[in-house]
Amino acid sequence: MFFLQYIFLTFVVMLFEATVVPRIAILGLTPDLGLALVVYAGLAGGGRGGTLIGLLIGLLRGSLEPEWLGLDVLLLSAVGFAAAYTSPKVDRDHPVVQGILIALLLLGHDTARVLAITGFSLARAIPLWLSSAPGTALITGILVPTAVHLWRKIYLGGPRGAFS
Amino acid sequence: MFRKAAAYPGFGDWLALAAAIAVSLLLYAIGKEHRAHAAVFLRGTLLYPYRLVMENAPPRDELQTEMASLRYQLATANREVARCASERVELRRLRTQLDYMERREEPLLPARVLAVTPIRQGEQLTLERGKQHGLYVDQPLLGVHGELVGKVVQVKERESTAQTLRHEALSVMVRLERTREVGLLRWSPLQRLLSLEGIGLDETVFPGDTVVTSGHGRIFPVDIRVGEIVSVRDDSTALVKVILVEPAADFDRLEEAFLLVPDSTLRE
Repeated sequence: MFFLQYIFLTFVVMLFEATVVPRIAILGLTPDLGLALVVYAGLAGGGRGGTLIGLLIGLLRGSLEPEWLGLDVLLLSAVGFAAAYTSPKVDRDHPVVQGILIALLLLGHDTARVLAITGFSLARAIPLWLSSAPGTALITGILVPTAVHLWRKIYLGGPRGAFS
Repeated sequence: MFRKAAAYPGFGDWLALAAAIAVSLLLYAIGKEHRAHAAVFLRGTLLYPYRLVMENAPPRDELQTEMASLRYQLATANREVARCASERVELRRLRTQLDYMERREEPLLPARVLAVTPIRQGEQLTLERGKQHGLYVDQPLLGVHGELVGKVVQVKERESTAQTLRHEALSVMVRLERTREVGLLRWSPLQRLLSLEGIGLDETVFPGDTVVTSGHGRIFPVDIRVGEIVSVRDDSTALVKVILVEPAADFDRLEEAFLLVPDSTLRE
């Protein structure tokens, strides 16, 4: 059930990224819904769920950018795996915690990706990273957990139960 | 509720991660050309539902144009609906008029009411018919249902002025339809009703009795409905009854009226 739910969500996110997301761009920056979904898959489905959903989204994204097909698979799988093993001491149901987690993992993902794309050239990687990673992390870390929190509150009558 | 974070990944988790790494390395190792083929394959399989939706969705510009066109059509349709509603009311009114004209034996001349002027002594109408339409002073004016409205008092070339029953200067000789008793009817501004004078105390008059023209004034033909009695009381000092009559004509909604065309037998 978990995988069916998240595979469906994956296609919804792909459609959203192609249609709605460009319209809500702030200063040219848009939320990374795919990565956020991988984080939620990791939180809800554990290491295996997060990794496999990361693998699926990595394959889908990579198919649109064949040069980095393997890289997307690796990085997004790692993001899902990492999301599943965040510290047990933090309240992962809290939207702020989720926002911070998404932002940190996105920054990590973008850092690795930018370094790989630029052939580990810091001179090219740093400006590229600065131009998008912090802004995207901020927007994604704020918008997505807020939207998820509201959705769960309105449609599920409370913060619990959405991904259980 | 999200799963409680486990301290250490299990075997299945490591296996999934290892599979992801293996896929990733494989895709990296097969080289650019094969990676492009793999991407094409993935687009044709994994992305098929996505492509299906996107390819069938109309382009944004087309959607916007269509929406603008639909908005225009909606606005036009709303305007048309409003116009139809107004025409329906007018049609109903005209049907009533036509029905009345067909029922009445005397010829009638319809006239649009251009203005209703409340003056100090009462109410006057401006009609869009005048001398060139054959109008004359004292010509009776009837309502849509044949009820008495008033009479013409001034005629110009293309328009005329009429006094309604709600004018102090207009008095009408009337008859009680049931008892055939004759009296004089005039507007009573204090009561905002017509006052029927000259009905003796010995007459039996009841509220609800119909009042019609008597024909004695030689202005209005006989038996034109004027109104209905709403109150009757005895005035012992004057030895007559004080009778108030509600006019049959709806003066507040008067849009058209009918002029009774000259009847030679009556005028002679």
